[in-house]
Amino acid sequence: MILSALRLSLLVSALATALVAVVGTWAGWILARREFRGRELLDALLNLPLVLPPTVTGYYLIVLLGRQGFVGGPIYRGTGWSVTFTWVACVIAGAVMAFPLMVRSARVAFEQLDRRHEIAAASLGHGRLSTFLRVSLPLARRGLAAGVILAAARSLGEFGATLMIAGNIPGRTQTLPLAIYDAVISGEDRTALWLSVLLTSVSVAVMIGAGRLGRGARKSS
Amino acid sequence: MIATLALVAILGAAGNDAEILVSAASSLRGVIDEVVEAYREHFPGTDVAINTAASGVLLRQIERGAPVDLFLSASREEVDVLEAQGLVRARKGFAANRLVVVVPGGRSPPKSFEGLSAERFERIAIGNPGTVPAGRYARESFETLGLLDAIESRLVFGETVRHVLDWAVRGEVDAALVYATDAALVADRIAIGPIAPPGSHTGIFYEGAVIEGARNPGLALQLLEFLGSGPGEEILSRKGFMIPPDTRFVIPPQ
Repeated sequence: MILSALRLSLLVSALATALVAVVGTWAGWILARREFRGRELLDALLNLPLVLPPTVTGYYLIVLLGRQGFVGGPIYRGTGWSVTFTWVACVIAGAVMAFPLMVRSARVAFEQLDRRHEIAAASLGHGRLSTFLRVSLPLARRGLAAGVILAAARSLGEFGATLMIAGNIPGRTQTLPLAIYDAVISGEDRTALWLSVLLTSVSVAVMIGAGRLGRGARKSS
Repeated sequence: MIATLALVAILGAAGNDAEILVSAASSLRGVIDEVVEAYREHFPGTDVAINTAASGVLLRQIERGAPVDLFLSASREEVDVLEAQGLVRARKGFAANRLVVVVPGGRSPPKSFEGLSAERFERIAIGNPGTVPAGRYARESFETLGLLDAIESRLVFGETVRHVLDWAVRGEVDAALVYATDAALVADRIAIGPIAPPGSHTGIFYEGAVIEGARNPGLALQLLEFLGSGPGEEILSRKGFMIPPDTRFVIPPQ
């Protein structure tokens, strides 16, 4: 049970972080560089999971993705498959909760860039995408790395929204935080302690590893 | 009755603040609020705070020193565990219930419990057997009927019996096992199927326990007594609970 929870947690955190890193960087770029109506509103909406109780976020996810949800309903009727109570739901919950942290970091990182580098690149004939990939992205990598660290840590510890949409099924959707909750409410203090120590160790390892990554990026820039 | 009153008088001397904390099983949510309201009409001046969760969760809270005066459990087992630790001052049965299969509204429930093994029941929700008595009774019933092997991989666990009920209402699961009293609350949004065969699981008896170390054991005992009196039983019956044959107080030897 402990091993399967650890394995699932690592898989969920890795996938959620990868997803968030790509989409969050893009959203941060849009928010930092584009002027459009409702930009601040969009920013506020994207940051909602940070301030809403996770159970509220989880509730929205059920309403959206459940078998009778706005998105989940048609999928279920068409394919007979629903995301609720699957490990994919754990990834979605983790990604949604970690998303604001990535967007915020990315937005700040892009806003702080010296735009003259980009202008220079453009004047040397680089297109928009090429400028972004070869100039903006490398220059912002320190801030982006910080966002990825935070997103990974957040998705690893995600509990409330996961419980709402993925349930708490040992071996299938029971991540480490849920296994800890289960152990505590079942009076299995020893298991709870071991799992907590395990989660703490994994979190520390993630933070150290990611911290090194961030420092490496700083030195070379 | 006289013995009870004497007990109330003796224990009542201990507490001063007219406030009690009641930890009630999730399946009592709503019912217990009505009982407390009626109780306060009869005995004004007592504040009653109600904390609801799965009985197993409430048990762990009490074991770890939660300042609970009265514990209302959906199973005798939780109270037995507390009694073994010397944490029960007095206990008493006050209600009984039945376990039923429900399916989302508009769908047809199975004819019998065995019918749950049909493939169309891809997901069957029960309470987490570790902490939710309704889930424990359900699992026991599946085991007795020889169904567990066939459906174990389709089970999903809810954190309380009301959580399980909500999944059925939303159509997130194809069937759910809840108490008859829970099903009655949303009868217009679900379809109610068969009752668990008698004898396939331990009897569902609700028990109340006045907790050792309660700040107001006298008031707790008074509320527990009220629950089993005329007005209390009237509310419980109206909500579909049954009254068990034996509702005497039991005082564990200290």
